[in-house]
Amino acid sequence: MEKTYGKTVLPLSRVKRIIKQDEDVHYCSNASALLISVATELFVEKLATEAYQLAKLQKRKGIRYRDVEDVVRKDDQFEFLSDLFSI
Amino acid sequence: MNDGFADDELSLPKATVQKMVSDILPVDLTFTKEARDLLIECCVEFIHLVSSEANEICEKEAKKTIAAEHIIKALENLEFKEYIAEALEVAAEHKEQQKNREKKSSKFEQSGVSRDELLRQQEELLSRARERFKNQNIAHDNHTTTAIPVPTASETETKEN
Repeated sequence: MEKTYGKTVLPLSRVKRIIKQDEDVHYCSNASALLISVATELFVEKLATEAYQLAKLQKRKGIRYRDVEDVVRKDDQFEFLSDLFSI
Repeated sequence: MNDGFADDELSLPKATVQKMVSDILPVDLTFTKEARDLLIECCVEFIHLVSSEANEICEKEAKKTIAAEHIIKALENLEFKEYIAEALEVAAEHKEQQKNREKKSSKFEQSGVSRDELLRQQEELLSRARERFKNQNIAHDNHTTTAIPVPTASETETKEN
């Protein structure tokens, strides 16, 4: 994947806005927002890759909603996301 | 699920996330709109999770600003250690860029030209460009013939031979 020097793909302003949604957060430094941004990119790449693996197992080339859901359910690291899915 | 304007503001740009995911996956792989939107929600949840954890760490130190070290600690606590190295690398690159940018801006300060003067010069350049553009358009509308040279009959004959 093409990587740009010192930059992230996600817009920093949006990331900061999302962070500030939490009322308990007072201030967040730009450096912190940048770190979170990079971590988020890596995180979603991992999630997407695992969903892709599941799709591949079923001989499909398209990732579906269900694939992402299945990854969340079976991998502990994604457990915090389980609230996104209705029981 | 709410698809209002307000949600977009608090979410991540769909095109950006789509491109990001497309870049890491094989070219012929696709994903549905629902899958993409779900990935975006997951990103937002992740951001909340990490920032919330970092905020707690920050408050324990009686600080008001979440700093880089709080994020690192949060990622460790949440078992996302694998992301720390690359995150730090990008942060270091960013810092390097900032330093270079500062060097350039101090050059501006040393140029001896005031900001107002620069703005005036810029406005002058812009209005000149606007004039040129306007004149170009008028000229284009008025033109019935162009000055492009057309090869004569003798020239085309020699070519064919």
